[in-house]
Amino acid sequence: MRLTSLLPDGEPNCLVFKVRQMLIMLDCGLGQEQLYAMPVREGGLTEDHKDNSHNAATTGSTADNTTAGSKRKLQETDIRQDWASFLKASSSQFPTKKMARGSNSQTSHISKTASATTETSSSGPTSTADGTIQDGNSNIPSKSMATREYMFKLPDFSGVDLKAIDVVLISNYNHILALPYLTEYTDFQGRIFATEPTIEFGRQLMIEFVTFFGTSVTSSPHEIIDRKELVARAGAGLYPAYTHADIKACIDKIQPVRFREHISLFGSLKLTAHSAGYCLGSSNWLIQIGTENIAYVSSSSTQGNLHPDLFDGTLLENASTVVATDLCPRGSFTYNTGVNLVCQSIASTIARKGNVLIPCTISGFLFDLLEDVHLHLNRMGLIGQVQYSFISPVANTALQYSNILAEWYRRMAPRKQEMVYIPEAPLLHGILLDKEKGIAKHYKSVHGAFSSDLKLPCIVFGGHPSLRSGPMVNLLHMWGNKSTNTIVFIEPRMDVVAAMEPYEDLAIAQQAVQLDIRLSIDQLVEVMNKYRHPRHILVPMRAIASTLPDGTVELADAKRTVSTSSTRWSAYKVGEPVQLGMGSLYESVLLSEELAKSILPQAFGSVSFAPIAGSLSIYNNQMQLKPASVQGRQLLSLYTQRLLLGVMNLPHLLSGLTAIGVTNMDVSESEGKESKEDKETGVPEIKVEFELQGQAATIVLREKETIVKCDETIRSLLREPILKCFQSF
Amino acid sequence: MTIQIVPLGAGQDVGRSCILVTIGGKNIMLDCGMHMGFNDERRFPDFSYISKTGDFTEMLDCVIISHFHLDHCGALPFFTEMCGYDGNIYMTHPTKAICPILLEDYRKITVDKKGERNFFTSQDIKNCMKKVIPVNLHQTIMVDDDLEICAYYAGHVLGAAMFYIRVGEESLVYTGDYNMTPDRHLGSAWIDKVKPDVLITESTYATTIRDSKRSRERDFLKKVHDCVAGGGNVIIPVFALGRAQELCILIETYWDRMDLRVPIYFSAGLTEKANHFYRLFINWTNEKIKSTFVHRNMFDFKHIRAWDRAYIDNPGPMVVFATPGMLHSGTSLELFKKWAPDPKNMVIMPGFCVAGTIGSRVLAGEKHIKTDSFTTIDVNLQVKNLSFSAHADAKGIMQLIRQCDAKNVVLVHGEKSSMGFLKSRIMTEFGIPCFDPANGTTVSIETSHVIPIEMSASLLKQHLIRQTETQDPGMTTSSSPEHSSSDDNSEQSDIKTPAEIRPSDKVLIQGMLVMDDGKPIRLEDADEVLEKVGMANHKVRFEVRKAYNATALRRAVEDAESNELHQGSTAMDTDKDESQAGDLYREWDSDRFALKLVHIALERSIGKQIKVVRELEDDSIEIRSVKIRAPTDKDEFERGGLLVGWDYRDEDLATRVLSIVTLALSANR
Repeated sequence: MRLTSLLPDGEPNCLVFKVRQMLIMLDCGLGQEQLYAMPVREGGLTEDHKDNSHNAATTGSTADNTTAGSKRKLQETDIRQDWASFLKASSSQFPTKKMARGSNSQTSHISKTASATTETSSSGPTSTADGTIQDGNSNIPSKSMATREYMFKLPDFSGVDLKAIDVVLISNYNHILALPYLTEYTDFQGRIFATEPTIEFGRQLMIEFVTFFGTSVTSSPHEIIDRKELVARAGAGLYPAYTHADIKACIDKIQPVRFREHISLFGSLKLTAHSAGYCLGSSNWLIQIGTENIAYVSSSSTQGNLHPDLFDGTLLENASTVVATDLCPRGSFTYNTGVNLVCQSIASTIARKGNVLIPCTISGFLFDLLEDVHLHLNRMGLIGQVQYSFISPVANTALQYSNILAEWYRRMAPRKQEMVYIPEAPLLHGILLDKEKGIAKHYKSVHGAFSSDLKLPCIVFGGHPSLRSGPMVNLLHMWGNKSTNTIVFIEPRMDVVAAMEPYEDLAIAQQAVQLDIRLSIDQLVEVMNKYRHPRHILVPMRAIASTLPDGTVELADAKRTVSTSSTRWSAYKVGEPVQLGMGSLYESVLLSEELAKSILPQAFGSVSFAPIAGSLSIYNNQMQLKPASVQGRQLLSLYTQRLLLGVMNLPHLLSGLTAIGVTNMDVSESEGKESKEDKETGVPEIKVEFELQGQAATIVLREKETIVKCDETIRSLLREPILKCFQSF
Repeated sequence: MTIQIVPLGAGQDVGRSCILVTIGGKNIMLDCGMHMGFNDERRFPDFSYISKTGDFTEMLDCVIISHFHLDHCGALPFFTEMCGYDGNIYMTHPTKAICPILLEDYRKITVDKKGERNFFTSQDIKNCMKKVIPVNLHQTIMVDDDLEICAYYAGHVLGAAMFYIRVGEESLVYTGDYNMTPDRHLGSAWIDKVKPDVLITESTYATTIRDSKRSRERDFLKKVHDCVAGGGNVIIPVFALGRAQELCILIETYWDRMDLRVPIYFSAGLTEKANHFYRLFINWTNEKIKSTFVHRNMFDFKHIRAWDRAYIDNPGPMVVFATPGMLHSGTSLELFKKWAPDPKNMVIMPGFCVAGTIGSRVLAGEKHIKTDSFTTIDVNLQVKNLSFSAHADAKGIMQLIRQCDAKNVVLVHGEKSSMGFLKSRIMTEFGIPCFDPANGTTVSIETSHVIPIEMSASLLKQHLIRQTETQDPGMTTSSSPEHSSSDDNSEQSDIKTPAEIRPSDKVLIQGMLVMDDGKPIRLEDADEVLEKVGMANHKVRFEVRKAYNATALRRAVEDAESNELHQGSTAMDTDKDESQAGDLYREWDSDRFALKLVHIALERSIGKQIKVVRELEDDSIEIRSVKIRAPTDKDEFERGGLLVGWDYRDEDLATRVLSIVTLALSANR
């Protein structure tokens, strides 16, 4: 059993797990760190005309897309001018710091001026300099460097035989972004499993990703990316985003599952998704192979009062090994403490007629937060004035889709699952979005209807949380100079300081309340203790306090948990495979009723034993033990090994012999010196000599051995009394 | 083990589906429906069959409802609230949502309109629904430690499911009602190859093989269009949910395409609500509706408006969808009464009608229908029957049996005569037993039971290695006929049949089953197990003398080889002639000769399965711990014969060897 993490701690998950010839990839996330080293790009793709043609060519999925694009063109000029002046004003400060991060710092100065000038001139693919941000490390041909591309670092596929991966398991939409690279750019040919909501939200996240960071050149990434190199240098190289066509192709390859649906592969591998309680459809996976049970615990939450289905701990009940990932870092806000801060911050901003910007993806606990915010504003009497806006290329889909997932909501939670029986939309935004009420609206981008509909004050939800692209960039520009406005960071997993670097001098109020509902290390320990202790638990590096000499770890929880004799804690980190010993080596076999009837168990204390012999048929990796055929039984008898248990007992033997008609037994005891060879000299031996049916026979008794010498004709007679002294099988 | 199946309803009948199943010691009730054709106590299943004392919670492990049609869930509030069942009830999410609405609708008709008392109340329905545990498709639910259930998509109506039930290694599939062809708003039924011991399937359309969907649709639309073009009214009796939605989608698109202005109404306040259910449970409809719902919800109809009673006197043509579907009460009956005398009008009966309802009498072609002692309806309008009902036809039923690979089939929910036809077809086509029990009769099905155990991997490996080493031909034939004895095999061993070259799919295994309470049963290597538990293994060694008549033997051999040799006329009996024996074995070593014979015999009979070692020095033979040798010391010489020794461990091998030796040394060849 070998586990390798392909992405550093703190990033989304991507692990490769090898167990008994099966190669399983656990999640396929894309590193986010790289984002902060990127230039800021206004709401989506920069080249509008190219964007349009590109969209038309590749998306085609939604008819609205192109219409939105053309609307956008009309609006282009005024926004561009604003944008230019804004950048002029702020160019002096922001890019210098922005570039201080990541590996690209040496080119920071060029890029600063370059991006500024490009944006100012507001047109054309002129910015060769911007391309140089992707420094010498990049293996992309210079042709593509001539455009302003966002480049991404993939999970380190270099050490993995991607073709040999049997299964990819996705736990939730946060860990799916790199999947199209795997399915569309490599010779991966395994199967992919995810829950239905994970697939849909994952698809939405990919679309958002491509819209915000997608390539703006007409050449497809397929031409730029060298497949072989992608695999070999995935850990080091930088790659442009995939396309809408890739997303579609990738999503089509995923097989949807439901919680607790048993998936059986190759007859020997069993997979089951269990609810993780983190978001709609978020799952932990139980991997059963042979008799080995491995639990993959990804982003999970035991937080109460949320809409997704509860954390389902039953997968831990039989798990011998647990791989825990994506834990909440120490010192994060829990949902309960954080949500009040968010509400207060929003309410006070609205009260002073300010606007609130909330950079986030439209999924996960946002739906709960929205209800809490709405309730709070209602209490404060601010509800009449406020308008909610959701801006994302997938806003409409995400909001609508989240309301039709009755099966995936938490049962018994007030007004969630029950709502659909009334029938009403179970999540609040379903009601808010109702056209007549008009409290909440959704837009594809800031262009178009958003500005005409705008009613201030306004609460805007939208992406991208890194503030490098998407509607938040435009809105920061529009509202960033007023200190009455507030930007509230709620997404965990992101670096607020890094995200705000380009905007440092803006007057907008900042509030970082990164709500984290993931399990903390303390909660993890608690959960593990609650269910039967697994034999081995693997945690990411940041969850440990120190490594002990024996390779186990001391956890960074409040109690400083260390391994016990029954449970071993250890840590994994990126690029370093962790080897785990397989525990019991057992195969599951089915015993047929016929054969089971024939066995004769004998009890030894609480345990019973029964010798068994049969023919094992193997079909589709399923083994069944049946009675052997006539031939088989003959063969079996050749191999049968009989066993005798116990100690020879002389009086028993003698009485047994008498019973079969032996008289005149001559019992003599000797020191056993005459018994030739080995060390058993000195062991006393008893010799019983007698005659039976006219044949002489001798039985020699030693401590662990009995030797019977007799004529062939009487052997079967003698066998009985001897065996009676023992327990035989 | 036995699986027992007793239909309390729906046995050779349609209506009040209720089937009791006993599987692996668990009692399960499948559906709890009512009969639409009766108004007396026969409308509900006879629950006293389950328990005379009425302690149903004790008797039943769970109740499973397949879908929301009243003939599948209508008796549920009666059973839980009035009979007192308090255990688990399972149904899918949409069923849980829609079922109470239909129950309430039905309750209103029986109690409010017919003035019946002693019927369940609205509160009963609500209380009953609170006990329901909703399930998701494919989700495996553990009812208790042994009983597991899993729902599969059945397509029949929104939220209809087939249920796979498993206890230990015994399993059963109950289909409820299902549809194997996708329609305009639902997908087709689908199930994994679960290989159930028993498949309980509906057989409503056991003898029908319906024509193509498209032509039926065209037919339906043409009839409706012709009728309204001629100024007639069309009444389509439907149930509020299910078929109605499909017909609405059909008519809606047709009206759109043909640009018709004739009003369409949908009776019952349910419509709006019903359509909203479809919107919220869009995941349960088909892929096309699912993928487009964000932009246009298929269930927002443009042409279809809510019915108002005042419209009944409106002039001009109209199309009305009216509930309920079997014309037994409510708006549909009212409209029917009003429009029946006019031959311009038309009634389209899309569903199946339970015997005894007005609907069924209309279908039977009765021209004067007495609804009660005062009213008689003259039926002059055109009556069309369109089998739109989403049941599987004979082809679909066969397809499902093949899909899940059932070992036995039980037919329910169908007419007796057509069941017989399907039954014989199933038996001839699949060669599996098929039953069609009447209500209250028990079907018992024997199942072979298997016990899951865990086998030590090292034990398996050890046996696999042994098998490949010995290259036993008998092993590779997976099912060698019993009459070909082992002797035949050993002689033909040089000619390899394809079966012999094929990799073996069978391994002979020997080991020790260890049964410890609370732990899985394990199969381990016997020695290892006993060592672990610290049981002393005692060694017993046998050494026996095998006497033989050397002269007779030699003569026999020589006779066999050639009849001309007449040597060794000296009689020699190792047993009796002790004085002579001393001299003779020096001249002719009878023991060595005997050993040679024995060796040849052993090699020939068991040499392929097991290694026979022959020491050249003294010709002694060793097979594992079995050792055959000539006498060595004086004492042994005096007694004569060969000496065979073995550990008791190899007792079985020794027995075999001894019998071969006896045969080889017998003079009687």
